Amino acid sequence: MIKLILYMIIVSGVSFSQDKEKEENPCVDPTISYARKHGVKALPARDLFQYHKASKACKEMGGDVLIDQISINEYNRDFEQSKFMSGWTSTYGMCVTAIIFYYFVGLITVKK
Amino acid sequence: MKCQILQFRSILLLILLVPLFGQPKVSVDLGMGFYEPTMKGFDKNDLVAFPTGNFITRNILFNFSTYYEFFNNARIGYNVLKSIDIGRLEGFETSKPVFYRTISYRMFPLETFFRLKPKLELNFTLTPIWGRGRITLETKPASSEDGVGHTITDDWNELLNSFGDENPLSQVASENGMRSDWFGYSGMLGYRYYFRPWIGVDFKMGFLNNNYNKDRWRFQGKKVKGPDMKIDKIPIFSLKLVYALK
Repeated sequence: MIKLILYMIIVSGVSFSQDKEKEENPCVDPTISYARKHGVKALPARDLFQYHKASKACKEMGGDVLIDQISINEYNRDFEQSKFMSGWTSTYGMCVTAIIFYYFVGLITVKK
Repeated sequence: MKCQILQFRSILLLILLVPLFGQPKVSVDLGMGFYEPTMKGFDKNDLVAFPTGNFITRNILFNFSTYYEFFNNARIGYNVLKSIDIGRLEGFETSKPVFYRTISYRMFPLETFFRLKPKLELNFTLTPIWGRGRITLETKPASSEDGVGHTITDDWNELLNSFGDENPLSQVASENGMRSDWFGYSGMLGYRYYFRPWIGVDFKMGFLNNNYNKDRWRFQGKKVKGPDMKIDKIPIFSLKLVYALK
């Protein structure tokens, strides 16, 4: 029985101390750590609210650089992935441009 | 056998885990479209005075869309642009029925894109359109003041006659909407600016081509004539807010 009570005290102590640390420093929130690694858009939808809340709190605590860095990393990651058109996508883009160009040329010339 | 199960589990685990660390795939867009159709059937109708057309009911389209990015530079989606008009009809013999009109341009776009800069994207869209027009009258049976025999059927016949349909309906059931479907296509060039990695503003311009025919409306299983509208070969612009969910 004594062992059980001791165990409960230790477990609750550890968990309370973690909460306190989290309250003191919102920048250690797991959603922020996850977003640092994989980007905000990789977060599950259910964690988005928690992330926005934590990032706001983190900014207020002076963690602007950290949150900005997450955004910059994400911009760069997306940019790296799609700065060049690959495969068939460029041909498709050219076709769309040509179709729209000829449509507007036709529109102007018909009106004239 | 055990080995095969283990292999299957590993493959399944891999399939399930890989998308978790992938890049954003799904986005939801909300915005507006602008176009300029010619709606002769409503605006220049000699028999029925339809609600006066204004910028919101004639030129604005409410836009909702969702996209899935299936490739680094390409996404597919579902895009609805909707025009709405509501009001009371004047010019009927005894009643003033409430009139609803919606035109939906349902698109299934294939869009390719690339980023000019980390925050700027240029996109190219081609899409088939499944358009649908719907007209509803909310009217009361025997709606004349003296209660002498003016029925829903009479109201509908007056409306259809105003569209040039001289073949009147004999009886109208309680379900009182007429609709028409057509196909078309559209092409758009877009410019997107991300002011957060997951939120952006998207501006598109292009054209809308609909194969609309006023003789292809249906009302309770019967072919009827609808309003005269010119919705083919018209320029279209859209402005929307993009939110990347995942």
